[in-house]
Parts: sequence; C-alpha cells; structure tokens
Amino acid sequence: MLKPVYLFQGETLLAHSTSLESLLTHKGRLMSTPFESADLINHSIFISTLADENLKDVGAERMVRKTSERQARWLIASGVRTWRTYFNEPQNKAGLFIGLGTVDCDEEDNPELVQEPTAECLATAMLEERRPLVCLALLNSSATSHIAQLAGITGENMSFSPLLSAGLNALCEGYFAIAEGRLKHALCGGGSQKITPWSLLAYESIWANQDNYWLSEAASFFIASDEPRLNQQAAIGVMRQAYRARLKNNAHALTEQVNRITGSPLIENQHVVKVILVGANLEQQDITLHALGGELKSRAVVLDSYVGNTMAAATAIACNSALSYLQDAEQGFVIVIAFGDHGEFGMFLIEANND
Amino acid sequence: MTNRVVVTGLGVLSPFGVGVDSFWSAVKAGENAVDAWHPPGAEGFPVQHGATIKQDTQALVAEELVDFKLPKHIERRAIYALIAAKEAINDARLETELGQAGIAVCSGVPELDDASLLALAEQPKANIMNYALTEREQAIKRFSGIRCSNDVLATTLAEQFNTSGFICNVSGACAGATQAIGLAYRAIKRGEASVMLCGGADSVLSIRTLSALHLLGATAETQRFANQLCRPFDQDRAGLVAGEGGAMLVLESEQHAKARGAHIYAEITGYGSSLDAYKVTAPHPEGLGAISAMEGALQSAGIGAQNVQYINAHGTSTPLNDVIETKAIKSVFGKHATSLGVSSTKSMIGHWIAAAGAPEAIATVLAIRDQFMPATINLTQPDEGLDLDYVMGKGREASINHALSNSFGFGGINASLAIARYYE
Repeated sequence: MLKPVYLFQGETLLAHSTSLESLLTHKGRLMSTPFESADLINHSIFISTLADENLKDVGAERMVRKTSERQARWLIASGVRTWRTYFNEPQNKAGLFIGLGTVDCDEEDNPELVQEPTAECLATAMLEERRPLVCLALLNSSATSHIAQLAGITGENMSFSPLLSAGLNALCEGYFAIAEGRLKHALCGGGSQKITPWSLLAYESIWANQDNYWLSEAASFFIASDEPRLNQQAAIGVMRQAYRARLKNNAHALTEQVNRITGSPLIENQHVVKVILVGANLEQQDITLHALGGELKSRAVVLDSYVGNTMAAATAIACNSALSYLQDAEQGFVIVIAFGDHGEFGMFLIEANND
Repeated sequence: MTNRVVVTGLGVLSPFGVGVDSFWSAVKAGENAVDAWHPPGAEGFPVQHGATIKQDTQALVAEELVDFKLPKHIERRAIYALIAAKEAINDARLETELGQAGIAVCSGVPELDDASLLALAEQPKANIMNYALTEREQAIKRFSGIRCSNDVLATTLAEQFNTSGFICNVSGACAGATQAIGLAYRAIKRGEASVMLCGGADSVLSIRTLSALHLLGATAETQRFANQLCRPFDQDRAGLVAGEGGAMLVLESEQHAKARGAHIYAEITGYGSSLDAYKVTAPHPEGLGAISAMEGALQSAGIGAQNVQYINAHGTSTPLNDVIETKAIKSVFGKHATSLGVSSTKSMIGHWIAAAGAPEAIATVLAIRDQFMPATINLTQPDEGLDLDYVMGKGREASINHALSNSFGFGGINASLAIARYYE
C-alpha cells in the first residue's frame, strides 16, 4: 500500500533573479541573449544564464567551495536553502534525489594548457598542481555529497544525469522512497548543465534539429514528505516510460500515453486545474495538445515557453509550478507531463490539499 | 504484494576478455589482470599499472557488434556496455522479449580521450573550442567522449535493443553501478517493470582522468610490487589501481522469469543506500554511511546479519577505504563478522570506478551459484586491525546462501546489494 506523498514548494533559481511566480502570473519575463558560439554552427540559440553562487549564505566551508564548480554551486545553494526552509535539524529517514548536469572540460581550459600536442606535454599540463582537488570538482555527484553534508541528509539517495530525464527520474525515485515507506522526507530537484561551447558539442543531439533554441541555466528543488502540513499539496501518482522506438518520435505511441493519463481513474470526473508540459518539442506539443482535447487543452501550459530548456532542472520547475497553481485551489489536480530528450516520458499527478 | 527479483542474464567485457566465462574462470582461479601500463606516449607518467581491455575498440566493434547499426559518434564505454548487454540478453534468452524492459546504468563522467584532447591542442590556443565546434565532424575522433554526454551508454542501449521502458543514467561516483542495480531491483519489486537491463561501463585510463586521481592521491604508484600492486586490506596497499570494462545484468520478476522458463542464477533480495554527509574528501571515520547501506540491504532482504556468509567488498586497496569498510562490517555483523568470507574482486580486475559495482555483483551472483568464494589476491600481510577472513590468496568452496556486494563512492555515496541463492 503506497503512502500519500506531500510536496512542499522549494526554491527555483532562474536567470536575472527572475521569480517563477512572476513568470506564471505573466508579471515578469525571463530575458535571453544570443549565444555567440552558436553562430559558428549556424544555429540560432538563445541563452539565459545564472549568476554564480558563493555558498557563504549556506555556511559552506572552504573545502566545499574548492571542490564544487559553477553548476554544482547552483544546486548546493538552492537545495540547501530549500531544505532549511523546512528543517533546522537533521532528520531521520531523510533522502536526496537529484538530476545533475555533467561537468565540462572547458572550465579548466585543458587543451589550451598543452604546450605541444604530445602525450608527454598533455601529461605535464594535467599533472600540474594548479588545482589538486579537480577530480572531485569534475565529479558531478560531488554536488550530491555537498548538499548531504550541509543539510545533514544521510538516507537513501540517487542522482542522475545529464538532461531532462535525469530530473524526471530523480523525482520519481524520491516519490517512491516516500510512498513505499522507506523515507519520511526527501529533498528532490535538479539543476541544468551550465551553458558553454563544450555543452553545445556534447549535447548536439538536443539542438541539431531545432532552428531556434532557448537554453536556460536553472536549479529547482522541493521537498517530498509523508507528513501533511497545512496547504501542502499531495502527489498521488507518477509514471515513467519511453514511448518511441529507435529514437524516432512516434505519434501513435505518444497519443496512447497521453490517453492513458487522461483516461486514468485517478483523473476521471476530477477538476484539472492545469496541464503542464515540459521538455516537449513542437511536434510533441502538437500531438499532446491534440490528444488532450478541448477542456484539458485549454488548461495546458507549455513551461518551456516561459523558461526555455532547463534540462535536469525542468521537471522540478514544473512540479514547483504545479504547487503554485494549486496554492489557492480548494480542489483539483495539476498534471505534469515531462518529455526527455531520447523519447522518455513521465507524468506527475499533484492534487490540491487545502482543506 | 511485491515481486521477487531474480537474475536471469549476465554479460561482461573485462580485462580478461569478452564474456562471463573468461571473467569468472579467471576470478575463480585468482588471476591478475593488472599489468604494466602507462598512457600511450607518456612513459614518465606516475601511474604505471592498470587492468586494461587489451582489444582495440574498433576491433571489438567489428568482432562483437557487427549486427548493430551504431551511431556515428559513440564513446568506447558505450561499446563496452553494448558487448556486455548483448551477452546478458542472449544469456537470458530474451532477444525477442525485451520490449518494455527498463534500463538503469552508470558510466561516470564524460570520458575525454587523450587523442581528441591532443587533436584540439594542435589548434591555435585562442579559439580551440571554436575549432572544435566548426570542425566537429572531422576534428574529433570517432570514439571521442568530447562529443558524447554521459548518458550515451543508457540511450545507446535503449536504441540498439529497442526498449521502451524507462531509461536511467545514474551518477553515483564509485557506487553508481550498484545504485543502478538497486534501482532496477526496486522497479521490478514494485511492479513498475518486469525486466530491467542494469549495470555499468567505465574507464578512467586516460591522461586527464588519471591525472586528476593522481592529484587527489588516490592512485597506487609504487613500483615495489610490480603487477601485484592492487592489494586490498594489505599493510602495503598504496591506492587504487584503475581498470576498465562493462558488466550488465538482466533482472526479472520471478513471475516473468518462470512464465518463460528462464534460468535463474540468484535472487536480489535487498538494497540499501546512504550518504556519509561528512566530507567529500574522506569517508566518515566510523563508517556510518557504510554501516547504514549494509543495514539497509539486510533490512530490505528481511534477513539478519547472521544469515550472510559472504561479502564482496568495495575493497579498493586505498588506505582509508579498507580500514573503514572493515570497521563497518564489524559494526554490522558483530561477532559473526569473523565467520564471514570478505573478498575484493578489484584485487584482480582493478577499479572500474563508476561501473565497479557491476562486475562485483556478477562475481557475487556466480559465487552463490558455484558455492565458491573468490579470493583477495596480492594480500600477504593484512594491515593492523584488519582481521577479517579476506579469503587471502586463493578462493575456496563455501556454503553461500546470502551475500552482500558493497560499493562506497567518493563523496560518501554508499550502496549495498543483498543477493541470495534462489529457492522457489
């Protein structure tokens, strides 16, 4: 028997200190600028970039700062602040579930350090003690370790990388850990990859077929718990799948998945406040909106049109958005439908709990 | 109502060669895959030993993956995983029934291979990344990690085996593959999946990554023991010795496996994971995270510590890990700790870093099948206070009904699997 899982809204870091609330209420807009490196590949890519976090406000010791790099610091700052909003002391049976970016090579300018293009020169450059702890900074799960240390989280954990499905899987695992009774509380969230020329190389598959693309740096967390508190919403179902074969989008399979959600007994005759789509490309948006049909289609929100592609942060931002939409609702649901970059597909069903 | 989870397929590409048979027969015999090695062209490199895959990557593709239509850019760890996965799927006789299978794997951070870094270093220093972007088709080698994000392993497996279950790329440092197997176990147990392909592939045998490990002081570099350098629990252990490879398991619900008449190797009965929340640079001095992971595995398996006969240890041959792991085992198992066999497969195949837990889980499954505890080789004099039965030197027959496979990663990420002999 699954336990109910209550969700506590957490912090979402967006570029230019833009608040998620202001975007959802149309009072603000996330600014973006052209990414110059994209000109080299004849693509039009716009970016929204986050400011660095110094971690002083979360009390990170020098070693944490030395062994974290920019994208890890966004995660550490927003994750620890979210946790401390609700908990001042270490909690029993507390866990951590995060979607991470990977760590790139151009932060260290490795090729530039090599005097001659020989293995000996490469070794000389790499072995120089410029940064003895670089190994830990390059390890993307160091962010998980740092958050655990600062928040005092010692329980079950799982981190994934690097794109949207990483955040999706993290939130699913966090949900299951609470629902199945292994944990009482879980810090769940994700952070985007930092946007650099290297990330364009590594993630070519996500922008290669897009004429205009908007990448955003972001991080977002919420807390899942088995304890209800006033005005905390409840997650009542999650689902994850891949819906395509051999990397091709498959309209029929996607339509089937959407119909499975809308035909679910959990939703039947219930008031759906919003349907949030996140990570969907234009084709997936069209198919999904068509499959949702009339009423539900009119309540659909395409989150990427507000915040761009925030990669492993995206699903947590969608869930935090759902919690915002439900804040004043007496009853009803928000359905979050998340699309990964390789055909992954996930759903979160979040219910108002404002009695 | 939850499902029992059974192991029905195994696949390994190891420094001993392609296949589970070559891996397990060598491990049973206590053979040593660690050999003299340094990064090609860097004779003076401080790391002078490794457990390497001897076959050239392109030759492996030609010999082992001839039926696959591989993407243009694929890094070698994905190739290792594909070879291991192909064997595991064939072993499970699941070729035509993979359909809804989920995938949970771990491959570590992107592998930035030396050849590609050197190709970039040939360019004018002011605009190397611009060059990499504009000339990416020609300039970057076919198997380069520079053009691959670290989920290439997971997504390639899904694509090549045409699966439609969920896909997970776990990032859990040296505990990553064990976490991936634990995730797969839980997914089947709850009924989210009937079949999961899980495991990992990794290699840090490159100048860049080994240099980073060297700067951290993690690598064994003494010449004193030649290829007997990986010496878990020994008083002269001097650090990890890197290895590489891929190892994959097919897990199924008992119901699914029995319905199709599958051969069952063993049962995954429990899984525990924890965080040290201590320091990113060292494990908790009392081993609290390791204790918690092992206790979690025992608890979810529903067994007491006294039921366990064998532990496949993380056993890295680093000064800190082996002391802390021994301390943690003593804490969890009490007086029973001295009755356990505790051995380190890494002593033979080196440390596969993110993938380490996968070949070790397979070794544990086969230890149960064959009722045989593999040895910790190169261990001649256990360090002070390290007084468990480490199955020194030579493996032995033993009655094993329940076993644990431990993985304790950098940054205090810990995972432990409980694996048992299968009884209907």
